[in-house]
Amino acid sequence: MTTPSRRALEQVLRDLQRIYHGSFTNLVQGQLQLAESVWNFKQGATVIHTYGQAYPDEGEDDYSWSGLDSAGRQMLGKIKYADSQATDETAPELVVDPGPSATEADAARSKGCAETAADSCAEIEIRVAALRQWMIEDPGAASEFIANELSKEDLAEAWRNALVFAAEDVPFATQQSQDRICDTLRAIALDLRSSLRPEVEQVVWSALRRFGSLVNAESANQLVDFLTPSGYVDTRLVALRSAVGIFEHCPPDDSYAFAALADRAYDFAKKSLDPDVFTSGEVSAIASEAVLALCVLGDSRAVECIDQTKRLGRRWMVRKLRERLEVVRSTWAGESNCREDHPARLQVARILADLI
Amino acid sequence: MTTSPHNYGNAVNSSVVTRVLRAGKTQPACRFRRYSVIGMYTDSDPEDFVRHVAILREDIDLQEPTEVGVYHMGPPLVAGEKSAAERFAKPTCRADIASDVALDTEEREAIDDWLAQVEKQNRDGVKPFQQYVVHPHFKWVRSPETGRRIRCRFSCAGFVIECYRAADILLLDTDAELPEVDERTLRAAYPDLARLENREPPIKDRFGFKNREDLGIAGNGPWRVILAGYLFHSLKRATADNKRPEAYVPKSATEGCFSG
Repeated sequence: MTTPSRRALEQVLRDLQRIYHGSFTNLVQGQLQLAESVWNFKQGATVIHTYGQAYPDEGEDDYSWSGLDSAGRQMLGKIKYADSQATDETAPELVVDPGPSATEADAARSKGCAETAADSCAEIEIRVAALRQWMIEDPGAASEFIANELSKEDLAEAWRNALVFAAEDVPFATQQSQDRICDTLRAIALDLRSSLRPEVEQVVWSALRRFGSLVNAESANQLVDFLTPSGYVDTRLVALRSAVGIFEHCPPDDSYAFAALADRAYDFAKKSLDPDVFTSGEVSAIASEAVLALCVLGDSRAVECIDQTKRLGRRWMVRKLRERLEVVRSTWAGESNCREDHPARLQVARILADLI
Repeated sequence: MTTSPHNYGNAVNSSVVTRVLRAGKTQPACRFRRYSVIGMYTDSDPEDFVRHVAILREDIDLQEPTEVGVYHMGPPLVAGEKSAAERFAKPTCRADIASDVALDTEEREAIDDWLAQVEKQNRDGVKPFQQYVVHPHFKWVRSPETGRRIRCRFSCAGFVIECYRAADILLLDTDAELPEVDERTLRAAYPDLARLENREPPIKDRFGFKNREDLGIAGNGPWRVILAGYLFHSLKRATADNKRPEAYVPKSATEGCFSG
């Protein structure tokens, strides 16, 4: 454990206060200054640039630090705020504890980011940092690794969450790897939907967004699972947005193949557009995505829902739908696979003529 | 000081107002309503250069520069309660300028809806400069495999422009030719950019900073980018008789400064 000079301690304390109590204008400035200050602890007067994150520990006055220095070495530690009122010049107010992880970090550097990310015995923070670096250095290999890891059972929660988030930031090059990660992310999202823990929301939404960005249009009915009333995480808006995202490029050749998806979209549109239920925000966003989903699926009930939207008396909702449908029409017009007499195209044209 | 929407205390409740907030309480307090536009001056010269712009989260009485709750593109993005609660979120900003153009209920609802949509695109852990873009003022991030839209990147001004556009309020004519902005002004407008681009690669990676081209400002300039100050020159044209003037076209990069 290192006891830094009072001056250095005060500098870190000031940095922490700026970050967490508002006088910093943004995150970047705060983090950079904090990073340099923390490294000052370890190196005396030598300033070596570091980068990383400091975050408050739950239920304590401490801050955890996780980052890398410019040589790529992992740094983990604790920043302990002991006594803000101390007047004794010798009393440490903050203590940085590099901890055993410093040794692991050095090992991580020597093994390389791929090996470190794959080392199930390493601390998760180290593995995540290594994985992120690997994604920059070799995204293809990193994406394969992410798909492999996510398919394993009994992953540590923090590691699983980091992998899900990482899947949103890395391309999957082959159809095979796309299909595989789709299946995995869908399974994870379905599983976590039932969790009572609020922190899994972001993980479910992330998994579902990535699933929706990759899944084959023919498999879009799989989104229906996320439009059924089950579990605690609300997946309606993300699932509907995914459905629209899939078909706004090109409508399905056979609308009836997606009847289950269209049925749920219709249900949500009818309910959300009910004047007794309608509110601006999440409900209105669900309503508009549901109506758009019907439009891009070429479902004839879209017309009924557009009429219901108009009866609601919200000009902004009508305008929003019109603007979004104009984008869809324009996209479809530039898509060679979308024939001019496609029923969905004709219907969108009719709806737009009525909305203008 | 936040009060309930129905308690206006001693504050002046103007219908349409754009005000520079001066230190020392030299002017009466004024009530600014939710989704008013908030501006923050630079900490360097010129002192009336607007460095950041955001949307007010709650009604508040303002008399002098005050830290207020906002929705904005920091980065990171804060578009709702969830993103505001994220580990590195910065859901506040110093209000040096405030502009309330008396949004009606329809306009507020449209903004509620837009924020809800943007909030659901967001997640904790997206690197700050991968949420951000300088030019154009907003840009869709698409799936590299399918081209499907995933989430939007914004500049701070772009966030406000698109938020108000959702309410059919066109603050700037974004299709018009904007004034040229030189390197010095660009650095004043984006101090984090200037600070980061000379750092070591690991630091750039940490914040998702690739290069200027990724942010839409390739080459040596000048660049026709939107400056936050333009928004207040646009907003101040609103009057009780003409609350929604047509989209503004800034004439010079000096309009990055705003002194009321």
